[in-house]
Amino acid sequence: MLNKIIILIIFTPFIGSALISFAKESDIRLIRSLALYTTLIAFFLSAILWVQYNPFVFKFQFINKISLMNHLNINFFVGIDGISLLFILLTTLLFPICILFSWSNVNFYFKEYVILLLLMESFLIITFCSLDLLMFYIFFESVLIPIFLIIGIWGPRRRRIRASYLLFFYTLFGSVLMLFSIIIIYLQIGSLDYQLLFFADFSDNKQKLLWLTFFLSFSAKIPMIPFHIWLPEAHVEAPTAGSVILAGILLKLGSYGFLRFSLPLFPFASVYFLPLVYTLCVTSIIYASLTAIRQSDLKKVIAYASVAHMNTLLLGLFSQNIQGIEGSILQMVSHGVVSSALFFLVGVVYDRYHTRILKYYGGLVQVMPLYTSLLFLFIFANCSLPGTCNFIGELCLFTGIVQDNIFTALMGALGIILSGVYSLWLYNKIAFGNLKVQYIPSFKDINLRELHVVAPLVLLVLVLGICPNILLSKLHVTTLLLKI
Amino acid sequence: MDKFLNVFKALSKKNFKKPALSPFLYRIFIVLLPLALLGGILVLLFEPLIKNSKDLGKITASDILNEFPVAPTPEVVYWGSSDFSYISPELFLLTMTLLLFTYSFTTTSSRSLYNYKTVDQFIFLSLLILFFTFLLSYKVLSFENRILFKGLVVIETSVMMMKLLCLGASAVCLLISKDYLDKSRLGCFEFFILYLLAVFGIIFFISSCDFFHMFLSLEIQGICFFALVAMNRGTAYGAESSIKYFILGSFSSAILLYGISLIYSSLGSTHFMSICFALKSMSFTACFSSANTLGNVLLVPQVKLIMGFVFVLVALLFKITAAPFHQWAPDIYEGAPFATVVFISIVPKIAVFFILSKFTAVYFTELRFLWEYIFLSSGALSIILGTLLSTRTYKTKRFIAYSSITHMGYILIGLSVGTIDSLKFSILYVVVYAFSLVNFWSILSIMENNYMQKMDSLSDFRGIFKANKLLGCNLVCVLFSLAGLPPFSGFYAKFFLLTSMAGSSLYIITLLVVVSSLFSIYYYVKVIKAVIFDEGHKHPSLKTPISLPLGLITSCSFFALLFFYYIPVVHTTAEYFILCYFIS
Repeated sequence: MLNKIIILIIFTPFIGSALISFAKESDIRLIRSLALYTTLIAFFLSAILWVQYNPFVFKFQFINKISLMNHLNINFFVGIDGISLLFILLTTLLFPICILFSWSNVNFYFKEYVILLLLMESFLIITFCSLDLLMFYIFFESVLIPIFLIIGIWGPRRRRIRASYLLFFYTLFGSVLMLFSIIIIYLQIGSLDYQLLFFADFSDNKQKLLWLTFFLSFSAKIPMIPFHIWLPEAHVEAPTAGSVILAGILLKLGSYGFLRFSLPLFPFASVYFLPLVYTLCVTSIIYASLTAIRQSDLKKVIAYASVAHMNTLLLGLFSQNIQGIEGSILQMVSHGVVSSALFFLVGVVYDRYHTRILKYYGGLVQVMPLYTSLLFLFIFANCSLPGTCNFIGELCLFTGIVQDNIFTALMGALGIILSGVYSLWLYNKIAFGNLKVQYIPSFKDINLRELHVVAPLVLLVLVLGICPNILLSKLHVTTLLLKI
Repeated sequence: MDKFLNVFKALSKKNFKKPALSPFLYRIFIVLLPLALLGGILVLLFEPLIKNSKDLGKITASDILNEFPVAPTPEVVYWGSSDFSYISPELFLLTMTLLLFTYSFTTTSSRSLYNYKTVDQFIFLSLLILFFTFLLSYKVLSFENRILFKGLVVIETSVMMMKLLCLGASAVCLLISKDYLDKSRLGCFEFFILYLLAVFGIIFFISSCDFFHMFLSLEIQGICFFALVAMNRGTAYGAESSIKYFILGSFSSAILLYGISLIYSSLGSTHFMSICFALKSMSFTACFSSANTLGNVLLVPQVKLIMGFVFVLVALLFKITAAPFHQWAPDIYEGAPFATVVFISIVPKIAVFFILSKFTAVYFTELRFLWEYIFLSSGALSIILGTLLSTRTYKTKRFIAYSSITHMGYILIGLSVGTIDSLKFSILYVVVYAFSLVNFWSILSIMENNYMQKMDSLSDFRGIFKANKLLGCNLVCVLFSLAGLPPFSGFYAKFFLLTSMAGSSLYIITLLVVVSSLFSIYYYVKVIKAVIFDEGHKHPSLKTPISLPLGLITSCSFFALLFFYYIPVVHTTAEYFILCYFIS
């Protein structure tokens, strides 16, 4: 019976969105509380899942299989292993605080906003725990539709339509070729069951082709240069909750895909294409960090910082040793937490003053001390201050990369230095200096609701900075046997 | 037409001037004719009562027919003992249509032309007729498989199931166009008579087992369509499209006839089964070295035969708007009245697709190399043309025409692969396509008739989301399903077709389909963007309440789009369906 908990986690947001669709549009209080309770129930259930997961066994647990067409091996197949568990927990953590953040900023169509968010949560959870390649692909793609709608409807500026188009088509372009390779895999193996594919053998040339198509799809999501153009646009034009989900989870879909599919299924090709990956990642890190320094929009800085961080962790992922992989997983979680927190904080300031341009901000520490101390923590976590989980993640990462290729490690370390540059520069400009009263006349500090939004993230950052094994203890077995 | 109207007027008045034909005789004529027909049909149905039944259902080549059961000499008369009982749905439909015709003569007057009361009663009667035809087909479904009338008509399970599908689709299309009919010049009884006769033609076409029968039923269907398309003759665009369709349609019928005559002259029979056996004994494989080349030596009879089949295929491809015979589709979809376009875009395609699949899988499998090439090239061309041409379309119905050209391209390539799995998936694709189009047309009907918002051009889609959230959501889901995006059922249909294509090593075609779906997503997303993100000229608001059947159709097809639970159902049905091909 405990096996079914994963089905409960998947369907709780669906049921919540169905219930909300019956509510009246003017009844915002009901919609808000219903959404919050739904996402909190999902979080609670995934916490139960976390506790009940057995970390000492290498097999997929909580497997549920509903076969649609048995003879064609097309099934609804979900199961958990350590990595999926972590991401499900991250997802179910971020969504309640997203809903809490959007408590009063959404001025129109609040009901549809919440329904789309909940649908996205369901799709994301299914993506992370699907054990069937086709199902993974379907929900990997179907996540695009809610985020496309969220950015396009609730984005604050006219440019949002362009941003949502860019997001949609960049991610779709790679994924369409991924469909082609899924078909080839299906025809060779006869089934798309991940547990079967894990032990399948593809010939070298076929592996190269398949790896490349998967790479196109995942690298657009991560995002790597040259497929990164959608990210700054989408982050800037999205509403805050949309940005948070985008940065916190949707970017991780790409690296999860690499971790789950590219590395184990195509080991030869992963090693063969290492130079490509390293080059693109290093280029992305340095280019994105340098671009971040020049930005004048708050969200764009954090967006480019996301690009840099995601590419750093991708370096670790491909370093073929356990330190690299575990470091990159830890870095995924910490990036998810820290970037989300940064977007929340920028959203706090945007809600009050309705501008994100850096020029209008300065000296906030004098009037918003609590806010700036939180901002301090997260900005320095962004540049991997020791004591935060980012530091340990990057430490493990670089231990892994150095074992493989020292030049890449040096270049990546250059990325860390540059991240310090833009983070410090950003914080300096916002928090210190003179108050720009000619632009902003009155200031209000962070209120209790927004504090509750950011509090779990603060806790995570600090606690994981001291003892990351809380998270990683569930994963050791899985990552050990990832066929590196 | 005026003379007709005068007679009409005269008949409806109490004191009338004597028309050319005495009204008394007139009335007797138009009442006795259908009664005579009905009597004749009843006589034929109960023929065994009158005389001993002979062995009906034999065709000349007796070795072909040893597999088919022969009617026993009955001591007790039962329902299935005569040939005509197998085509009782069609007979019923025909009779009732003619009765409806006479009913309309006697009860409508010029005042009731273009009147919602007329539409109401005629829709009710037509739906009743279609419903009973459906029931009769269901009854015939349980009969044994037979070839009837010395080889003209075949009745088997897959044929009957296809008939049920077409009847259901026609009924749904009629319901969708009800509101349009209330308000337009199509609100006359002729529309319903022509509609029912077209349905009759389609149903008869499905069960054809002989080229002549196929030609005749295609003609019945074609002539009714010519008239149905031409009903919008008040506008310049409508007149132009009706003439275009008439000319192109008759031309294609002529080509079909020519092809049939070529086949007859080279093989000596027009019956599918005898042609099949003749082809089998002709040893094409001896003349054509591998299945991919046409060989170096072609004997004259074979050239004639192949030309004949090519002509037949051309005419059939014309009917399903496949490239390069697709030129008529955008103009006709644009100019024809809404009710006709709904019908014409869904039902004939199902029927012709079924016959084409029978050709490739059952009857003319010897000519697989021919079908493969033609379907493959036509399909690929359809996909390319449909995708490219739709990027520059700014009108709704043209847009749907181009997208249906693309979808037919996908289905044709699925047919060209020819394995049982691919046939199953093609049927699934046709069903999903029919659902999506039914949903789309019902939304369009709601917008035009209940929101009074003319949906002529694609920019009229703006602001629908603001007017009615659920309708906007539905429209978005339909467009995503037509585009083939997960998690909607359109994606599944496309995925299965891609699997079967790649399974036959048609990698380049698979890549083409995949890339073209990417391009087609571009223009669907443009429309979706207009629906959701843009402000309408003025927000349309609900002027008249949405009728219950229309609402039901919209929501049921919406659910069919969203959830893929019905895919296994369609899949198993299609499997049973295809296996029945080979059992007969």
